[in-house]
Amino acid sequence: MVVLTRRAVYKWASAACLVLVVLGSWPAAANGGFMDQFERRVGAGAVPELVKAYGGEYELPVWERQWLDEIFHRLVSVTSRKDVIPYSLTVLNSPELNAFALPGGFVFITRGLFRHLQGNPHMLAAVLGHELAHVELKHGINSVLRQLGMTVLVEVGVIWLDLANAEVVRVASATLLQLLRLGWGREAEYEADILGQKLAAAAGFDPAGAVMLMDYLLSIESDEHPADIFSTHPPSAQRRTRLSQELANFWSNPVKLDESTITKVLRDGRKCEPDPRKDLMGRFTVELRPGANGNTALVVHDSQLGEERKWLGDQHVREAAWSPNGQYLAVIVDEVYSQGVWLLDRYGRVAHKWRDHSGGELSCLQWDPAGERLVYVLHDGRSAKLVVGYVPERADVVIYSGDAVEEVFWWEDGSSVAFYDGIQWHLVRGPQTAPVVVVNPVPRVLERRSFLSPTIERDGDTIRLTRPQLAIP
Amino acid sequence: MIRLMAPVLVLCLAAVVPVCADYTVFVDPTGLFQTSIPQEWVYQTQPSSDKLSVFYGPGSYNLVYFEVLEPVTYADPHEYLDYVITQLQGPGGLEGFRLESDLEEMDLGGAAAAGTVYSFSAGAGHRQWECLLVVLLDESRAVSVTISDAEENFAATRQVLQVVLDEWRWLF
Repeated sequence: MVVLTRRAVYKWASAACLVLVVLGSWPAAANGGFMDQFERRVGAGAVPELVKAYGGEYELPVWERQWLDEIFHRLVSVTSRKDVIPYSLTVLNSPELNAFALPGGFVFITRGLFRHLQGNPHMLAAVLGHELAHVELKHGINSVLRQLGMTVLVEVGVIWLDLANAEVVRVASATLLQLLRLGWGREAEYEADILGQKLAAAAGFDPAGAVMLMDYLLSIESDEHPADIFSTHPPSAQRRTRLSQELANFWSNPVKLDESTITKVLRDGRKCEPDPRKDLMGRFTVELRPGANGNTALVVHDSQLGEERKWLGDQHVREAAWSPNGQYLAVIVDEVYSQGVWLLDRYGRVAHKWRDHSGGELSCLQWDPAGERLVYVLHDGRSAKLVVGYVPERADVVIYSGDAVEEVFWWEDGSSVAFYDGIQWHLVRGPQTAPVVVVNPVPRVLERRSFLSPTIERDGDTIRLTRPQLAIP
Repeated sequence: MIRLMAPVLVLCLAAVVPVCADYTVFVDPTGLFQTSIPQEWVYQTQPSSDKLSVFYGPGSYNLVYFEVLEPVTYADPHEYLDYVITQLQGPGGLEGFRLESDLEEMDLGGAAAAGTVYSFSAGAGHRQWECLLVVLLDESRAVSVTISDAEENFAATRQVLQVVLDEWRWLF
């Protein structure tokens, strides 16, 4: 028989109450409170060493900072933890191509990576979305807790109340820095890819940016420079495959268009389209003219020189369309065993052999209003696939697959595609994107590049411009 | 009456003729405003765009440029300019920024504007001076006018700005 003293009874009862209180408070704390504070403190504890290791903070010029902040704030606004995690973005003074996030919402990007992605907000949003996703999914803090063996519920009673202890935070921050070098694990990276892509799309960026990012990583991985970014991650090719497969989910299923709507659009809307045969400046007009061996050749009338020229020699060209921004002439070229979409520059040179489809037939080439995407139909004998491809990237997405597609055009602002399957018109809605708009922009401060100014001489009615000798001041 | 008006007319023409002879009218690509630019100042297709028009002067460092900015949430040009100056002299702003004059209330084609002069350390190893004016329009738009030159030539170049401002017309 065990006889308990009154003191022992109080002690055990207190301990039991403590555990009950802790267990009872676990879900609430985990959702925003004590646990979030702990996460924040652990992340904050690792920040100084990390910043130091990457050359300190880098101050972007105010105009670039405004632009980057706008992208970041748009992404943060669609996160689920924004009310409990004060997300922040720091640019690090390192030429490396890298980005990462610490628990508690500390997101970092190196100036090297920012400079490489500066022109593409969708790719930048993919990077930042990926990092935010790590925090959203608590990959970092969970790894730390796992590493320290602090997730075992039995220990909760002891450790939980001690989470605010400075020594616990210090040890956790040191562990975090070690784990950061190893990465959060393959599955965590895949999860962050997918959620990051969703965050980017929800914030008004094109989810294809994530696929383009992987293409970019693959391109630099194959160069002499190793890709620092995501060096702890799964192979980029596998990540690209997964992200590319996800792209179709951002396009709706086809919805039938009623006759009055499509009649009105066909009557009013499409008349406004620029003529795809003429380039933006109105200089080059293209024509497909029957040539030798039953081929149709690409003939271009140059209104400036008043002459006709054949582009692409005797290649069999089946369709041709100038991009609305005048950058490319897209053509469908028949080759021996395949058909491809090629992009020619304004002077008829092949800029990109953009797509190559063997065993299929391409048709219905249509530019979006911005000249950034092409939609076309790929018939493989059994079905017709409606493909949207990003120019000049490799990213593309099959937005519809069915028996037939006979006619295609971009709907309204270019966020949707309408197609005719031989019976009915349908509409496939794509992801809604919005340009990056900086509120209260700072007027630019330009410095003159005097070495680019020509010398101007007047001689009667003649003005002579002399190209300056290039000399960098 | 005609006799009385004649000297006045001659004086007016004398004031206008140099502008017509040495300046050309520039209409911005969005049709928002027009002004006069000295003929020897050359329009730069790069980095000009729909919202930015840049002219290089005959010297080595002088340039004038106009920028349409939106959206601007400020209601007072003085407050907007104050915000801009804070950004330019803060982190990521201009190296060696120095305010050379107070913020002044000005007039641009009849619209209330705010302006100031500042200088900074330019990339070419000299000190560049700039006069910046901002004016707020409806629909959250603002227009900035900047004239810039190396410190030693700034006083002469600033006279061009006076013509640009005098000849400014809004086209809406």
